[in-house]
Amino acid sequence: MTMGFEELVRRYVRGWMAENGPESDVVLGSRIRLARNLKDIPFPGVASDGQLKQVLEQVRKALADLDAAHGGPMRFVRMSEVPPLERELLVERHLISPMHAQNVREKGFAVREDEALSIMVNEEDHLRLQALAAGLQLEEALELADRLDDWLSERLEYAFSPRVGYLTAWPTNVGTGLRASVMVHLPALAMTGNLARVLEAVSRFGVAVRGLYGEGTEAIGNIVQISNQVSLGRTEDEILKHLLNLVREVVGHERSARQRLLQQERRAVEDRVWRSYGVLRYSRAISSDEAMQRLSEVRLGIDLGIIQGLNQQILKELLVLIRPAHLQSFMGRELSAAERDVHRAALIRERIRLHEAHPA
Amino acid sequence: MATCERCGVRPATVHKVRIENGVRTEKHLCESCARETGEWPELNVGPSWWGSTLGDFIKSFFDLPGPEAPAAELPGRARQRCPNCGLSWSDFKRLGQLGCSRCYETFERELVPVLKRLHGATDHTGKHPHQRGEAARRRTLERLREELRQAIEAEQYERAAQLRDQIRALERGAS
Repeated sequence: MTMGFEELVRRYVRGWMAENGPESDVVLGSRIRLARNLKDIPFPGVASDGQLKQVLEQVRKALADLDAAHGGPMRFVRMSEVPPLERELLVERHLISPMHAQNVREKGFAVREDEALSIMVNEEDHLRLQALAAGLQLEEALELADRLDDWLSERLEYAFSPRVGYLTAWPTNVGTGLRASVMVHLPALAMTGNLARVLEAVSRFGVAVRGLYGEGTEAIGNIVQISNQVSLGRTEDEILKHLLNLVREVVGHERSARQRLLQQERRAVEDRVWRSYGVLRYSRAISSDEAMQRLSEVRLGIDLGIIQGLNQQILKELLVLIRPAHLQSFMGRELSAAERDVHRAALIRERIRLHEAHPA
Repeated sequence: MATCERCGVRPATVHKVRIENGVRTEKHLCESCARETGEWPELNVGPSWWGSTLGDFIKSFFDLPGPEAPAAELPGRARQRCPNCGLSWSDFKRLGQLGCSRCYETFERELVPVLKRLHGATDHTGKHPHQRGEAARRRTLERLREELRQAIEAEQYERAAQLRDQIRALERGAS
């Protein structure tokens, strides 16, 4: 490692990754995304380079004097000026979509220092505003995105119809343009074999549920994302309320599964948690998937009081820091998959040792 | 299904329409040629808020039988183009995406059943632009009303009176 772990954390762990929000024993983070477009200019999927350049310029100007009350200041960059490795870093930090890191011609990106507020320009819509917050803080995140949106709506001519609302490239986003998502960690439901059943049940109520690697895949690290599907015909507050109710339901199921595990399977859970701890503490090479699974179990051990002296942030921090672009950025060079496994294991060992030396 | 225009072997599943200086170009590629030419987003990048796009979902929607499926499409309408961006309804059915904000007017009739199916609604009830602070005001009102309810329940009438005044003031501010 070219720099110490504390230095890495200082430089790379910000905002929602570093903080603890409400319900943080189960809810890792909340995200709000607002899709907005400019009137009459074709959407990015169809527009010419010249038209997209015009959008970039308008957004850059609108953000130049953004004040603190509306979320400023934000740094604006053209994606074509961002080196490929840094684009990947932005993806791993949840600031841009994988799509936005590719085909970067006439794409832009704006971000606030703490990364709580960001904008993708010319992704699938002209603007996608994003607010991230730790724990269950959908309302707070919406408030943040909403104020930035107010500022922009006075400086840009939005594509808006009084009847259908904010007009978007995909008709699935039209209306409020709002996609609210919550990232939840459900290790006890997974361990007791109830994860699929619970997610099945909530997904019948108009929300999308998916694992961390996208739709239809397993929940890597027992982390699942729950989002609203409907964006039209309900107010922003109604959409959040509906999602919050379902998320609280899931949180309740996870908490009772944890209690059941402690009461009925204590020895088995302790064994699994400590085995995972052992692997993370001593392994010399570890794949990303295994690391996520072990970290999930160690985090459960922390939440249940089985492991003491390790801070619960370990999961959220490492969720991002062990990703390939981050590892390569720390090492200052490209790494093969095998090399990444070695450096990933070293990074995790250092994180654990650090906290054993200075318990949280 | 048409074959990929690049390799000429595999079926074309990725469709791109671009309109530059009034000239319209189309690309029909298979998934692997799309990847090679950079027209396909690399999705396997690990923990992310971004899922796959809903394109496939929308496309499969049009293949669904049933009374609501937009089979009600009138002959000739499929080829009508948006005067602003040049997209046709059959382009939309292939891409799953609209071309510009004006498409929503051009294809209003065809979009109604699509929106109903996707959202169970066709009318927007949320935020409007140029209503600065309106959403925040609405949220504050909701919070105050909840506090008022709790104050009355707890028989804190002095507090309730204060809250009622605050709510009235905010409601007047709305006009």
